Amino acid sequence: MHEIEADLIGAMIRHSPGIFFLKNCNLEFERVSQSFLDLFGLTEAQVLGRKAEDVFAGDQRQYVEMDRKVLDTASPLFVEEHFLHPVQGRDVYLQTEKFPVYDKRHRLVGICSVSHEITERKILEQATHAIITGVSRRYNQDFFEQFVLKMREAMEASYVFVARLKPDGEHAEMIVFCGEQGLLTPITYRLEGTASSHSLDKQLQLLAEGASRLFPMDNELSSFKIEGYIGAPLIDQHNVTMGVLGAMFRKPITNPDFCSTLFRIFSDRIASEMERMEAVDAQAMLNKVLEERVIARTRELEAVNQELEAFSYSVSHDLRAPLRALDGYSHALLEDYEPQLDDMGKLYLTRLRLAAQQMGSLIDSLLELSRVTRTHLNCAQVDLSEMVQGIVNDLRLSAPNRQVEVTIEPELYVDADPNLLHSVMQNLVGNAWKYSARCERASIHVGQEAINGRMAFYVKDNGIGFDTTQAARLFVPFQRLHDKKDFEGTGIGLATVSRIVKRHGGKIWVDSAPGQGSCFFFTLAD
Amino acid sequence: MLREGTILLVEDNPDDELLTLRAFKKNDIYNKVITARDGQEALDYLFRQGRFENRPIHEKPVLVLLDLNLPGVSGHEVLRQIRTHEDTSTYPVVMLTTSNESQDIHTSYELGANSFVRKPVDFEDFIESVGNILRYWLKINLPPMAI
Repeated sequence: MHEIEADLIGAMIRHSPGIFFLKNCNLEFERVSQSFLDLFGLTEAQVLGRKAEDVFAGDQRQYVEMDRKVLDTASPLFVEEHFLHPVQGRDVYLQTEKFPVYDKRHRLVGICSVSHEITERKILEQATHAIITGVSRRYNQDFFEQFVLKMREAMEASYVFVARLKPDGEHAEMIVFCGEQGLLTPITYRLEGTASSHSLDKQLQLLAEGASRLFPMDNELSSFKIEGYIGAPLIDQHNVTMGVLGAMFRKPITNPDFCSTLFRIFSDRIASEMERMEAVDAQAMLNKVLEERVIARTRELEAVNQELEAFSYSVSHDLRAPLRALDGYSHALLEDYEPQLDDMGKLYLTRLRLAAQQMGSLIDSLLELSRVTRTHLNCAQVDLSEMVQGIVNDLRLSAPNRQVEVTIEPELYVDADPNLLHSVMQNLVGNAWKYSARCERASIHVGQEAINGRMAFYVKDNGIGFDTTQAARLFVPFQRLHDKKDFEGTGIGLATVSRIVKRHGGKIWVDSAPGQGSCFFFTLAD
Repeated sequence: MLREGTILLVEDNPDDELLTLRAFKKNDIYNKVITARDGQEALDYLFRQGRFENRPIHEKPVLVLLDLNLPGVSGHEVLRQIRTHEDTSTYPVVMLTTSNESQDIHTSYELGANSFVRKPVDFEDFIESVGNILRYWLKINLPPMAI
């Protein structure tokens, strides 16, 4: 061996942080590094020329076997070793590489083992793992509670808390707070002069000891007799500090790096959970506001509805009374003063009566229309075929001279408000009856048909029909497509029908052509 | 021939009153008619108080024609009191009104109305309605009798 090489090896043995040794083929220690000796508190004299079982108490078989394996297979081995320190009793984790050593003639002469202590990393990993598993699938308050409990355990802190900055910027309000005995009642505290006010400067703050002396204004630190303090700001995605994650120790902090690392790892997760929770709270608040608005609006609508009801009622009562007077007195004049009236006088009075009666039926139609919106839907199964049959019977009684062929599909059932549906059918069948009056062979057909996957009912006639470009006007109150002289009516019936259909969540449309009859289709609830 | 006796007409609208009386005449009905122009007057007549304090006790109405929408005491309230008091509980009461609101009709029957008739605008129809009501209640129908 050259001198320089010997120097290098000597330097490495003395100064390298690596824990390494060289064993011969009998597995006796040939060379050991200073770090190796330091780790176990041994001297070279206690180690060199001896086997592991002679140096260490306790069972050494697994280490011997590994070394043996490297010799036997003449190939390297990578292992992670874990044992309790023979003197200190603490956990030691090593990452070790063992490999065979050859002399210049390529003869196997022993093995070399090089280790690094990874205890800190392992313990951090374990703590992180414990915290992560403790809080996985937990949200909101539950998350924070589990988190501080696990965190306190891992750091061996006396207290851990998560606090949120109050909008005044002067106070912090704990969301969660735990001590050695478990969860505590969260407190709100003034930030000025406290350790956590320093944590708000977007920096991790760690005081290994003497925390309560450094922050005499901090009531919390003094009242809990705190030595060590660590605080991390909780920063939202807009880089604004929302709060603090803090831990307090009654004894000085012995493992500050470990604690800082844990805080760095978790403060982001805490911040995002806090942000999420605030978003959820804000959403809930918004929902509540919206809900209140809906309630207020509903109340307003109910009031308006009541007013409408009162209005309709007085329309019904008060507008009709003068019409009765107009008609009644005209009638009285025609009867009692007949001799004094000439033909024109009689005609005028007759027209006056007719006008009064027309207005009477107009008022009735309007009432009917408003009733559709005013009344609650009371849905039940309705036998539509039977209902239509009843309507047709009435029509036949009212016009015994009409010859109309009516066919009704049997067993048409539907869920609807029976009174309102009756109004729909009364209008549609009544219209079909009315507008087919001039046909020689009038016919009306009532049935159902699947249209675009939905069952639609229809009322079809072979009457005068109309141009469908005008169809939209049909469903607007007072819009008429035919002259009143030809077909009497108020122009409100189809508006009523349309409103009833809509209230049931359905649709109404019409298929027609002048002289070709009309077919009104409607659906009810989806 | 219709049964004799007083008809109590509870009607606040003077036109309606006049036309109702004319409709009576058109039906050849000449019974005595007492008109009460609001609910309170109707109650006064029925319970012999106020203006009707001195009404002869035997002059019981054979029929009450009761409007609904009255100033002050409503038609429904008058009906309720008629049905509540022993002396008047069996009086035939026909609601004769402009309303055809289902709620009004329902409440009237619930309170014990014998009949509910809506006044038509067409006076000829009205004459017919009034005639039918009176012929039914004063001829066909047997009145409650003392037992």
